[in-house]
This record gives sequence, C-alpha cells and structure tokens, in this order.
Amino acid sequence: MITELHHNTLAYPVLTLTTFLPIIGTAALMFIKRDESARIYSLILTLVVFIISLPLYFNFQPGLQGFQFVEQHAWIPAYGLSYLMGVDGISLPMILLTTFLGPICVLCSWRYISNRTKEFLACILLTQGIMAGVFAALDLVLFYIFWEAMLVPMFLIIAIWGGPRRIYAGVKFVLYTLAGSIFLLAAIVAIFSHTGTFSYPDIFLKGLPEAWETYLFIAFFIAFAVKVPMVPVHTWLPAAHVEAPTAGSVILASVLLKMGTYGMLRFNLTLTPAASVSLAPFVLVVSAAAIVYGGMLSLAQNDIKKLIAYSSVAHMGFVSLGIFTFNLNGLQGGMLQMINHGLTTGGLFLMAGMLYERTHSRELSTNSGLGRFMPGFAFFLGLFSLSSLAFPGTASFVGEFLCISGAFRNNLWLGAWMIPGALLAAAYMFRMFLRVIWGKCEHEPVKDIDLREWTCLLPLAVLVIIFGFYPSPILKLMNPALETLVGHINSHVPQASQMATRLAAALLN
Amino acid sequence: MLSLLPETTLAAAALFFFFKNLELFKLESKKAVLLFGLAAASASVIGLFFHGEFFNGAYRVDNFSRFFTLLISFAYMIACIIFTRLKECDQSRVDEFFFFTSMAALGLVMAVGSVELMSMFIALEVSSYPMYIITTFRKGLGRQFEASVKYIIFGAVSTALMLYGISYIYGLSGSTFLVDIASTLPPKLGNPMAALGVLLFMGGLGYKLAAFPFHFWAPDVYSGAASEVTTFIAALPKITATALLIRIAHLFTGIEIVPLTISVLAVLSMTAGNLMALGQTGLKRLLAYSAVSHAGFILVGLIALGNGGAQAAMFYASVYALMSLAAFMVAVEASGRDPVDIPIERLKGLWRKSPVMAVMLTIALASLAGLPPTAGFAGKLFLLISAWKAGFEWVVIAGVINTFIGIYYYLKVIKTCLVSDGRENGFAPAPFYLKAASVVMAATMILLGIFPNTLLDMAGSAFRALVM
Repeated sequence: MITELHHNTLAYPVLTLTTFLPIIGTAALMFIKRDESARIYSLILTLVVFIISLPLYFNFQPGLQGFQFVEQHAWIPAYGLSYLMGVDGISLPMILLTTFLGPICVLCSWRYISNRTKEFLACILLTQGIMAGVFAALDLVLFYIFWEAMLVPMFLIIAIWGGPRRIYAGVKFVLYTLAGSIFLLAAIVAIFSHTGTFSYPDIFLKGLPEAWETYLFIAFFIAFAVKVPMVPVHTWLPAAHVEAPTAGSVILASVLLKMGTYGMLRFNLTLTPAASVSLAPFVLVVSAAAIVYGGMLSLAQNDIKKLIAYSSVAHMGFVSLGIFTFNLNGLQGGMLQMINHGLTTGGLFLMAGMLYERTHSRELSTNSGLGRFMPGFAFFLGLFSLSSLAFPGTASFVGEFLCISGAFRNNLWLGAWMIPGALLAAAYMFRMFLRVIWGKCEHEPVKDIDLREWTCLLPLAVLVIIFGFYPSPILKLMNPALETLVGHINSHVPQASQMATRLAAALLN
Repeated sequence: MLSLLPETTLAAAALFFFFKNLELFKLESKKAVLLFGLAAASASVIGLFFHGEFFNGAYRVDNFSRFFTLLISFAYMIACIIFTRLKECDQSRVDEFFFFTSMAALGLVMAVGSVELMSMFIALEVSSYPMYIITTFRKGLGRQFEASVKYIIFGAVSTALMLYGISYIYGLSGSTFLVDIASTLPPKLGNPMAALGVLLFMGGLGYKLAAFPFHFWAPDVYSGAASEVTTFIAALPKITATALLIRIAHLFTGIEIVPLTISVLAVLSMTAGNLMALGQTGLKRLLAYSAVSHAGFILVGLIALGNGGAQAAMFYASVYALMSLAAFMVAVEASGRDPVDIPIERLKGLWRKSPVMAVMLTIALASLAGLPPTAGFAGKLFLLISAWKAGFEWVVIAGVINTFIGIYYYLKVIKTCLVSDGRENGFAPAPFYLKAASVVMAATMILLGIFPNTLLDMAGSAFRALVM
C-alpha cells in the first residue's frame, strides 16, 4: 500500500534535520560580524546538511511500499494536525537535489553578492530548508506551510539582490504563486472537513467523495500549475529568472519549479485519480503547447537568462506531459526530467551569472565570442547546452526520450507533436552556444573560470554525464513508487470515463 | 481579593497618574507607565488562578473573563512599552494621557467580566470616553479634533444601537442578567424581537471592532490621532469586542438569521477593508483598513461558535492584537514629523537604521497577510476550518480570496521597509528595551504560528467556562 509508514531507523531524525538545520542555522548568522566568515559558515552548514541527507539515499529501500524515514508527532491535536514527515521514491530524489544544490548556491554567490551579504545568506539557507520541507511533508497543512513560507525569502532574494526591475519581478512572483495557492488552501480545508484529518496517508485511505474530485483536482492543479509554470500562467518565470541573482535563479529553476510537478504527482494523481484521468487531455494539450511555445520564445531572446528561462518553460512542459501520460515510461521520464532539468538548467544559470560577473551584461551580443578567452567555460557551456537539448549521452536525453516514448504510447499525435519541440531546443541552445563561444568578439579579454567556479560546475557536470550513461541509480529509487502510482491510476480509469461523460454532458448543457 | 487583582492594578495605575498630575509624586511618568504595564501583566497572570463572583452576580471572574483580561493586560503592557517613546502626543499632557489609557484599559477589563447587560454597557462607556479624549492629544494642529468628533459621533450612534438592542433583550427576557436571559430566552428565540435585539447589540460592538458597516470612523481616527493613541485604539478595544461578541452570540445560538447576517457582514468587512486598503499611501490609514478586514475574519469565528469558531476567534483576536501592536510600534518610531498620516515612504531604509524593527515589521505584516508559518496564518486556518464545518463554504472561499488581495498591500510595505533604500529618513536609534521587546514579539508571532496549542487550549477552556 502507498500509505504504509516505515519509521525512521537512523540514529538521528534525518528529515527534520535536513529541513530545520538550515532554518535554525540562520539565527547564528546574526552573531557573525564579518561577511567572509558568514560565507564560510553558510558553506559549511549547507555541506553538513548535504552529508546528513546522504543516508537517505544509501539506507532507502526501494522495495518497500509507502513512506520511509517517517517521523510522526502530534502537533495541534485540536485541529487534527500532525507533524508527519516521510519520503518515498518520488520525493527522495528531490530532497537530495535540494541539499546537493545548497553549497553550490552559497559558492556561486561568493563574489556576486557583496551588499547585505548576511541577509542574503540567511534567505538562501531559509529557502533551502523550506524546500526540503515541502518535499518531506506528509501532512497537508505542514506542506502548505512550507509551500507558502517560501514566498517571503524568495521575494527578498529577487527584490533586494536582483536586477533593475527586481521589485516588479518579485511582486509578480509572489502574486502569481499566491493566486494559485489560495485554491490549495481552500481545497485543504475542504478535504479536512470531509475526512477529519490532514495526514496524507489517512486521507488517501479514507478517500474523497467522487463529486468533489473534479473541483479538488482543479484547485490543486491551479496551485501547482502556477509553480511549474504551465502556459498561460508562466509569465512570472522569465521576469523572476532574469531579475534574480544567480543563486536565486538556480534555486528557482532547479528546485522551486519542481515543487509544482511534485505536487501534481503527490496530490493530484493519488488523491483525485479519476479526475486526473478525465481531465488529462487538457493538461496534455497545455503541456504540448508549452513545449513548442516556450521553445519558440526562447529562440527569439537576446538575453541569455531569458533564453534559459523560456527553455525552462519548454522543459517543464515535457515533465508535466510525461506525468499526465499515466504510463510508466512517461512518469519515469517526467521524474528524470525534473532532476536533469535541475542539474542542467542550474548549471546554465550559474554560467550566465559567471558571464554577467565578467561583462556586466546578459546580452548575447555583448558576450559574443568570449569562448576564445575561456576554454574551461566553453567546455562546461557546451556540456550543459548539449544536455539541455537532450543530446544522447547527457542526462536529459534519457528523460526526454522516456517522456516522448510515454507520449507515443499514450497517443501517436501527441508524440509526434513533441518532435518539433525537441528540435527547437537544439536550435535555441546551439544559437546561444555558437554566439557566446565562437561569435564575433569585440570584447576585451576576460579571465577564464577560477577554482571556485570549477567547484560549482564540476559536480553538476559529473552528474549530468553519469546520469546520461547510467540513470539506473535514480530509476531504481523511484520505479516501485511509480509502478504503484500507475496501478492506482489505472484502477480508476473506468470511474474516470464515467466522470468524463458526465463532465461533457454538463459542459454541453 | 486576589481575584480582582488585575482590575485593582489598573485602577491603581489610573489613580497614580491622576495624583501624579497634581504633582504629588516625583517618579518620572515614562518609568511609571512601564512599571504599571509590567504590573498589570503580572497581575493578570496571577489572576488566572482565582475565580469569584461580585456585585450580586453582575461581575464574574472565571476562565472566560480571565483569558481576555490576560490578553488586555498584556496588550496594555506592550502599549505601555510603546508609550515610553511618546513622539506625537502632546508632552505637556503626558500624565493625563497615561491616566486615560489606564482608565480605558480598566473599562475594557471590566466589560469582559460583566455578566449583566447594564454593567457591560457602563464598563464599555468607561473605556470609550477616555479614548474619545486621548484622540485629541496630539501636538500641533492636525486632524485630531475632526477625528475625535467622528469617533464620538459614530460612538454615540452605536451606543444608542446597543442600548436599543438591550431594551429588546430586556423586554423579552425580563432581566438584564445573562444567567436569567439564558434560562428564560430559549423558548422565545423564534420571536423576531430576539434577533433584532441581538443584532442591534452586536452593532454596538461592531463599532468597537471596526467591522463593516460600522468602520467609517477607523481610517480618520487612526490617521488623525497621535500614533501612540492609535496604537491603543487599534489593539485593546478589539479584544473586548471579541469577548462580548462571543458572550452574546453564544446566548443566541438558536436564531438562524444571526449567523447568516454575521457571515454577510464578515465577508463584506473583509472585502471592503481589503479593497480600500489597496490604494492607501499612508501607513496608519492602511492599517485602519486592514483592521476592518481583520474584523471580518474575527466575525467568521462567530458564525461557527460550536464548531471551534469561538476558540478560533479568541486565538485570532489575541494574535491580531499582537500583530497590530507590533506594526504600530514601528509606526510610532517612524512618526513625529507628519501633519496627519505617516507616509509609507517614511519606512524606506528602515532595514539600515534598525534591522530588528524592519524584521519585526516584516513578520508582523506577513502575519497580518496570513502567510505561514506565522500566527496570523494559524488563526486564519482555524477560522476557515470552523466556518467550513459550520457549513459556510462560501465564507471560506471569500476568506481565501481576501487573503490574496491582502498580500498586495502588505507586500508593498514589506518592500518599502526591507528593500528600498533611503539614507535620509533618519530614525532615532531605538533603546535596548524596545529592541528586546521587538525580538520577543517577532518570536512570539512565529512561535504562536508553529505551536498554537497552549493558547488554543486556554481559549478552549475559556469558552467551556462560558458554556457552563
């Protein structure tokens, strides 16, 4: 059963520490006087958190159904709230991705942020802890708290340390996210009034009334779609990405967007399976549109960060499309693509930030031809660009291939529609790569990437290559969970077709 | 006599400042007010353990009244801490100011303990008159007199409504004692007079709470009065109003039209307050309209009294008082140079001048906006859950939509105080005790959001005392 809880057997509460160590560690920043010590402290703290989270991977037993490393405590009994944390094959890779990117986010801001450094590091640490919490929380209110607690630190990261239009971008980010998540709150309250509990496994066991499923699905879906972001609510993303400082863009692209697709996997597909199946065509169409639309927008950009931002829209379209094909290939592809996009796009944003530190411009024209001065940079940019366009041998190839094959299994036309999307990716990525590395150079010489920047990029690059040739470590983690999910959804297909008939009748009347 | 300790302490404070005014004491007023604030808070904690009945059963000290006494006394203490920074208030009338605020706090505490309609009414008036007067205690010629007149006129009208309501209730039940009303009224609940009486009575309290449509005084009084005065008016009367609303609504739970009317008013209050707050450029006016919208949220608790709504409303009222005091603590620091309202722009660069205050204001505003993990979120969640349980789904939907509208203007202030740079807006450096108080308040707002159990349990036992 999906709802089995296997309690934490490690010597320490691993999920609590992963989540709350960075959050509590923020307090110590108040007492550190020098910026440099604050940076070192944050780096050490994020590294410690990463090391603490590693046993999650090594001690995880993929064969076990349900959630592992569970921690359960009563919290607000009067309202049925409990502190329930746990991971399964779906959330585990996301938590590891979060903790893995923590030290990189601190490292890449080492020189970039020189103004209000301590506050910046505090925001980074806060977001890191909160994001881990989002993936670990199994109580709906706990999940919602983490989900929303994200807003203020992320807003500050964009609005204080961002580019010229940072306040506009920050406010847009908050308003879009909140507009989506108020529906989530209403849905959570509704679920509680029916089941009397906020605990995800209990809600799953008790089931929800069929008449509510469609509404609940829509409420959940709106909240998650804004975060993904799906067309047409994607417009906050380019604004936020372009204005955010490097670390902010990396957090946004690599982890924050995945909170949306994770939410769909965790809540939409399991709690409202019939509605998911009956409404899937809409989601598939929107995702397919995002792939092509995002790709075409990306092709037209001259701002490197904007280009990567729109490519994210397209890539996340692959993820949501893979998820809503409801077959194992699609779901595997979607999950892999979430991780690969985190690594690849995170790397690309890091490199955009490095360019900006050197030339103080994100324009393709200003940065053109810089490859001749920066061979190391050229290597990494080449690798991440290839991975971004899903070149065989890089991580994204596996994910995108599985997504496309899942789409073909679902529907021939759907699969065919994705091919131009994949082609577009090659076009916009090569366009950027060629301009930056071999374009006409009018810029004075710049320095190649230094040791710190190598340290940032190398772990990402290594993982991109490893997962490109050998994705089975992740697949092994998530396969059982995904197989259960596919089974769960398939068992609701008959119910879904009735629901779709009713829905169509209601719409036509 | 220990059971009347909180009341005695506040009365002693009032007397002290009355005689201080006659220059009988040498103690510095600002030190004295801090001392009395601490004394009142400690007295209310001691008072938690003693119960009793006084004045022929017109005044009852039980869990319910002591819960609210505790809230009022702590709010009074925080207000006293803020009072030590008098900036806009007329310095020559410091003692009068402290006298009237202690008097008003005493009236508010007495109103909470009264279980007889007339003593309730008189206690409320005891609290109202000092507030009408202190509204004018502002340096220079601003809008304080206009504000005070508005306050008095709206106050008089709502007092009349309340008395009219009491006359109906008395006419139906033949008594002004709540105990008697509770025993004689139930068979007559179907009588439209009962609904009219209770709604009129609640109208009078809605004025104290600044709920729609009794909110028109709020923006003018908030911005016209000195910031210290607004601090007091914005927080303390709301606690008492919530207490009395729960007391009265609980007596009339059998009438269907009452929760329905309150739910409509609650939604209108939230929406009207939020929409009008959107365009404000003055900090105090913005907080006034935000108060209107929060009054709506407190009213939500009343429509679901039996479904945990009472506890939720009590929790929310306490949290709201705290958030409001926190916001006004910063407002007082920022005030002193404006003819009427404090422009929000004044907060520019607050993070540079006083990072502690900037962070506390941010947490207070996030809490007002209902963002987790603050206490404001927990309170809203409890209110919405109880409203849904009571079958008011549409109120929940309206509530979440209003949460969304609210974030925009709170974010505007957060942006100004934490992001915008402004070197020229010199804030006087805050003294240590004020910084310490802001750290404690900020921590409380977060901790109450994460661990609301203690306060919720207290509210629960307070409500049970009422039911029994």
